[in-house]
Amino acid sequence: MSAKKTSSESLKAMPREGSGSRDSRRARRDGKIPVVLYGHGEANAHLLTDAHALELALRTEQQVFTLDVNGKSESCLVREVQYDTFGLNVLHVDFNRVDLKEEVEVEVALEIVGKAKGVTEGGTLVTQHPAIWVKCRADSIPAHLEIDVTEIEMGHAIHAGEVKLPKGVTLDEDKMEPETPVIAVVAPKAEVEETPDDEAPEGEAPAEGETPTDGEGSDGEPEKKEGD
Amino acid sequence: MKNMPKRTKHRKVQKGRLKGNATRGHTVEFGDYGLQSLEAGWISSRALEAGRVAATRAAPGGRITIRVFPHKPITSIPAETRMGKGKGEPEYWAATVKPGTVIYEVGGVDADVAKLAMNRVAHKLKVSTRLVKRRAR
Repeated sequence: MSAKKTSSESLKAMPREGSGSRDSRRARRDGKIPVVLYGHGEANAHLLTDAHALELALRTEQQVFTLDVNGKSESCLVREVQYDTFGLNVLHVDFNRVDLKEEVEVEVALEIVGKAKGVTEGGTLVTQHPAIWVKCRADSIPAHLEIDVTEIEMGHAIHAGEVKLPKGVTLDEDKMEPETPVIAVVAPKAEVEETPDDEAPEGEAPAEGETPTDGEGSDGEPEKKEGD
Repeated sequence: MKNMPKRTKHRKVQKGRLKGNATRGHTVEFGDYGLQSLEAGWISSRALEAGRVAATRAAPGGRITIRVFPHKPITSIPAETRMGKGKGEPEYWAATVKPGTVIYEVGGVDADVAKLAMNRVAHKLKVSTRLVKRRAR
């Protein structure tokens, strides 16, 4: 079920003067993050926000932010966050203008509650989708959706259509079909005891264009040319 | 499990250079936690297998995913051999890893168990690593 709703937090933004990767790098060096604000038929706005404030805001579960651009406040949804290779620094954020009374499509994270029956029997709980797509009003986006897994047995799954949603929130069937499994309990794989014969020497390499098999004459030994 | 390609176009390949950070395969996709490389290097198929065994033992019931595959044949010339006479013979297979590459993932276990499993794996690898968590969004 749903927990608390997300609240809107204000972020200060200023228009960008330059554009392009060189300018973006300079901005990041100065503690600013380039963001883009688009939607609602208005022109795209290329902005800069304070890196620290933005990263702190993104760590919360909220999805709706208020961008304060030159004294004008605009409500917006986070559509995409780009991180660096190590996932430590935010590189760029896409904000989508939103009317708080309109219906929006957003991805809401799932929070697993309880221990599945199948897990106590030796199965493994596999999260296939850590978040699901829902449709709801922008001012009532749930922070996360709690999903009770205690009744899942071995080999069974909870599908997107079975997730209990709060009032006013529906599954976005265009982006996620109700039959999509989101959390499943899978049986453990049978451990195959490796015999010494199975452990092929590391030096074995298949000859060019050949597939080494266990049959004779194809033991994977590299062919040696005459005159070597 | 034979940790080597079934079929290759060429028996030997050149060393190559590992420049820059990973631009793909740097996020946790299949499990809940991952082991991310902080260095570039070659990881032998033996090390990968040793890591898999260590993770399976440390996290029984967990789901271990290896995100890299040893595609690269590494050659060497025998000891006490005079220089020349061409390139050596393939000795082992290695996966090329750049900084940021997620090498292993573990899912279906508690955070403590996952961390322990990834720590055991890290000791089998010759690159320094860090633990990363899957992002919900």
